[in-house]
Amino acid sequence: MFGFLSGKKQKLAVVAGASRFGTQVAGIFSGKGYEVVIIDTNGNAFSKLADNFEGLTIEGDASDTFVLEGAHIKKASVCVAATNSDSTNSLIAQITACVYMVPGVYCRLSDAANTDMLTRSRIHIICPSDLCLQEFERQSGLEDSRGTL
Amino acid sequence: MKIAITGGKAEADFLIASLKEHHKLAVINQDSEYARYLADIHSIPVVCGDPRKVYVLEQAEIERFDALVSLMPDDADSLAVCQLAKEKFNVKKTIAVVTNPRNVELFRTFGVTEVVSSAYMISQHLVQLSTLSSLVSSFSLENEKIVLTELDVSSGSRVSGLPVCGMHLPPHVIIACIIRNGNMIVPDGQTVVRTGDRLVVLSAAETQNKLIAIFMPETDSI
Repeated sequence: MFGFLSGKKQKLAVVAGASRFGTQVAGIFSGKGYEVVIIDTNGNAFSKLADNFEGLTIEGDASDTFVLEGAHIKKASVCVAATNSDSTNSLIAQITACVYMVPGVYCRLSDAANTDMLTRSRIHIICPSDLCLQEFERQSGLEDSRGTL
Repeated sequence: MKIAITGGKAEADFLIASLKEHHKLAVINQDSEYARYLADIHSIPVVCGDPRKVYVLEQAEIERFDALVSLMPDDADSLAVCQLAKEKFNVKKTIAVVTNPRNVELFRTFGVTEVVSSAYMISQHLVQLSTLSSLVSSFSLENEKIVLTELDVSSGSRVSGLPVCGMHLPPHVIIACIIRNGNMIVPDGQTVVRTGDRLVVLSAAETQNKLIAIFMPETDSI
């Protein structure tokens, strides 16, 4: 466990927010051989993690730099901001991308109205409602007739 | 100046009361009851809505404002509101009031013009007070109109290495003597003050603060 602490070369993924999305992303990283740290203010939220999840859970506010440092954010190669607050996700993404220079930063936003600033900092935005719309257009075949609706 | 005040309760009320005489204000508040209360007692325009939303800021015509103050209870929300106002609406000055003192420097690097935290200010204030109390002791004469102040010249003090005539002392100040290595020196304008000196200074009571400020180490100025 936690080879990154002992100098073994294993990649670290930090997941902020044990939402349904956050816990599943944590499971994916874990399955791909990453060390995983998942953070949430509510300790009960970790019960959504799969039984075979081997990562570390931290109960705390992931938008606080002290908590992020406790999760070894400086060593992380990827961070996913998946709390249920857009503002918190945006703040976590900016801290991890601009202060701790984490190479891969993903930010979930339910309202993607102000994303220019985040994309300038190389933050990947994931917006469920946009994805939903795209999928609707694809499944309904309406995407080709866009503009005529 | 046109200032928008977003979020907050008692702080918003207080800010409006103290600014409304000299500035054009508008309020954006999520709490419809409190928004109505603010509109009623201050008679200023109030938009009831979530200031994190683009359409609410549009409705408030935020692009016409010079400054925006965010008093949102969650620091992340305050940052979001300030960044939105700056990026999308070109508001020049954004001010965020935060609860986590570690967010003060962080939010400045993310483009917020001013970040205020009470814990941060209290700690700065206490640091200064404790530095002061270790450097200064004073004694009043003539019904507290005249004070005799003892000042230690610490390393980094602005006056260290300066001659008395180069210290730009305020009027009504006399350096009565310099105590150096236990010896008393009566200075003239050319006497150079060194780190470790203790100065005994006679001044008018109202100039004492100016005097102390001159002796403070540069890094401690707020």
